[in-house]
Amino acid sequence: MESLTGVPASQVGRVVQDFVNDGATNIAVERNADGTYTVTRVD
Amino acid sequence: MDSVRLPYVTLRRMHKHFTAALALLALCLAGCRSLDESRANQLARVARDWCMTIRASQVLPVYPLTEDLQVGDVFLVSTPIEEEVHELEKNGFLPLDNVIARLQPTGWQSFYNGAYGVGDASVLPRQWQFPEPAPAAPPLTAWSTAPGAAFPSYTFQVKAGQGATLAIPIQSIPVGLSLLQTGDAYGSVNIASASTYGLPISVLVPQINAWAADNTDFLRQYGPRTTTDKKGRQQVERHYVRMVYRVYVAGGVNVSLMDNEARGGRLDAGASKPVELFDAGNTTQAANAAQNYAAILNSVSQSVAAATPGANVTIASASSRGIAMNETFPRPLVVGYLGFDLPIEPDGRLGPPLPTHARVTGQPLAEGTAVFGNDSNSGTLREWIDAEPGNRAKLDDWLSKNAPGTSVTTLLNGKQYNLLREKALQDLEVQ
Repeated sequence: MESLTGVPASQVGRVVQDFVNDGATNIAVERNADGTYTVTRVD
Repeated sequence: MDSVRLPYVTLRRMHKHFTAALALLALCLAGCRSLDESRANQLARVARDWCMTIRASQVLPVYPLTEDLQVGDVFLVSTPIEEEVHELEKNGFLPLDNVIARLQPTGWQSFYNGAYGVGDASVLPRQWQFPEPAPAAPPLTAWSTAPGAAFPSYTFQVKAGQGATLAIPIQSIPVGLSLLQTGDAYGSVNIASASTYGLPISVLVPQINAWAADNTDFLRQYGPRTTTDKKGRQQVERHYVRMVYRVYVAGGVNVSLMDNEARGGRLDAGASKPVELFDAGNTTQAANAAQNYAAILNSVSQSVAAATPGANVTIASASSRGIAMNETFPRPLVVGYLGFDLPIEPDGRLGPPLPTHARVTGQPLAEGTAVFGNDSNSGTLREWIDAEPGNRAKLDDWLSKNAPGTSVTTLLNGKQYNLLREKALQDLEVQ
């Protein structure tokens, strides 16, 4: 699995879009304790 | 006139002799080099086969075997492990030469939950290496109480001339060849009495980061930098800190050898010691065969011990065609390890750890977790990708050559990929 951690809320949409452009079909977004997000390509 | 011509003739003769001597020397050197290369190739092949056996168990081999490698050892490496795995496949092992620190990690008690004799006050592996009170008789260590491990067996073939120079650190093989009086044999090595111990990466990362915080001045020297190769292309040179988080220890090896020839050449380990080996076909007293066999084994073991005082080898079974031996190392040795790499950032901090599985199997860095951190180059690259339908394919192609396995998403958004983004812009001539 490939993930990006520490993603600010304002950038989550862009990172998800980048994963989609890379061909991802299953993406998980988790909120971290510090308010940032971890975006993981699951497929 | 003579006074002028004589030295000229003498000089010409000297020149001829000198040329002939040079040619002879060159031939000798070429021959020696050829022999050296052949021997080096044999050694490299045997070392590689041994290391591949360890590697087959998803463990990085240690070569030569050593007792002095433990969890918490920190090394400086200049190439990522994905590239080192290629080197590993080519040469067989990775040199562990740049040790920069030895941490004494904490967290053993909670990880092992009191098992294997590990308590709050435990110092590993010291309590297994040097148990207190010190045993008066072998075994002198307490590795038997550590978590166990097992490895697949390693098969090999040895021919005359190689027995005395085997690259694997096992004395039983030349001993067995000597006893079989053969120069051509095949056999197998089974790592015996293997143990392992380690700590999870999540426990060790905060400890290595704390160490890094105290040593930023040292680490800053090894931050990433852009260099230019001979063809004028820019390359990003990165250094990594590698931390050992698990080691595998072997107490000895079991070696079996089968003679490939009826009676071949002879190789001796230490003193020459012809031994009459057991041959079931010659015995006429079946009832006493087992007793005789045990007596012969005992006799051969004593004979080997007397002939080769350095080797702690006992004979497990023997016949005229084959022999099996158990060799115990004086002290258990580390045969393999697992580690993780952390990239050194420009300010001397350490980046995220790269996942072990990816590193051992040679999977790309992008399979792991990257820390988010984009910059203006991310935006420039993104705009360039969107400008032309074929640009993404161009970038994919560039990535496959410059950072195999790295995805476009990771390149665009990864904090530690800033130098790679800069290089992509330059190479692809993105304005």
